[in-house]
Amino acid sequence: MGPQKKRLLLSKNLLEMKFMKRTKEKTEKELEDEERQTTFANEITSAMLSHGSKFLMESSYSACENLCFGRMSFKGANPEIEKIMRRLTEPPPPKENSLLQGEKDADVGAEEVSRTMSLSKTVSRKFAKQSLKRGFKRPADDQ
Amino acid sequence: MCGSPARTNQNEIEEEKYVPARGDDVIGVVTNKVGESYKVNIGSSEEASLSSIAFPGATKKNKPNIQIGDLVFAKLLIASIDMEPELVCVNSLGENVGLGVLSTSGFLFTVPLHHIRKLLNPECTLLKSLGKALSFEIAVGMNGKIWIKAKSVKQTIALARAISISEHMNKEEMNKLCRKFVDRQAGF
Repeated sequence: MGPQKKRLLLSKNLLEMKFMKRTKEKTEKELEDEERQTTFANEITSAMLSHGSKFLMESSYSACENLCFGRMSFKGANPEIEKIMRRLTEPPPPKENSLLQGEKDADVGAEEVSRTMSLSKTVSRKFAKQSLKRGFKRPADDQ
Repeated sequence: MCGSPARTNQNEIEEEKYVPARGDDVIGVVTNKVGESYKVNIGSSEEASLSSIAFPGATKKNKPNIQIGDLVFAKLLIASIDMEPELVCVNSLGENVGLGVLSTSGFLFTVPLHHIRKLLNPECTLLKSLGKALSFEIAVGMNGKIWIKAKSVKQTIALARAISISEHMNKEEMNKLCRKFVDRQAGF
């Protein structure tokens, strides 16, 4: 065991003083971190911390050996499970462009909306002749 | 780093106790209801807890009806040496992914852990071959428990036997077993 770093521990009375409040919190936090490190030293070793992402913890055999899903159904015994089995084995459907997807499901198409809501038609009606407004027909024209 | 099975006595027949690992799908027996969660026996040293709202479509007002003694097929969410294992029957998005309560009209039996891993291996054709012959549903728990439900009691027991005795068989022997099984079921 080489020379150990001796930590300067401030006295308790000193830390109680108001102007030492920040230092007190800092030392408490440091002690907590150290405790945490020692308790979890079995799970997360110092080598793992220093070397970054070289280690990957996988606890389950099913992920390591790429095992199948444990719930299965054959020849129609449980249709819901068979549906899930099919969803797991078949490749995912190709993802369409989200804008075009909205167009397919729409009740009113984009073209029709642009025609009805076009400002050129709606505002021009305001300046049209009185007779043309709202399909107004003069009583003389009816006969 | 996978969890290794704990062995009780090297000289005896391999009797391994299941060590819970996060991500495993296990079959458990509900033993108690404590507040908002159930205590489930999964064959490990500690009983696991299963929250009553960890089911698809469950809310605080709408909880599933689970009795003591029911079988559940659940996934381990938390499994560490310091904490009690925790199970869930739903995926992280709240969708139904095949987990949940298993019907009581099935048959539950135990199988060694290494055999479970062999059965679930994608290269193992035993379950798929049996599935071509008979209509049945099965749940395989990584804790050594298997639940089978077939159309009749005779078929269920036959399937359970077939799975148990295939423990030390290689691929060829398994195919032979499947063929014999199919013939027997067809009446020959």
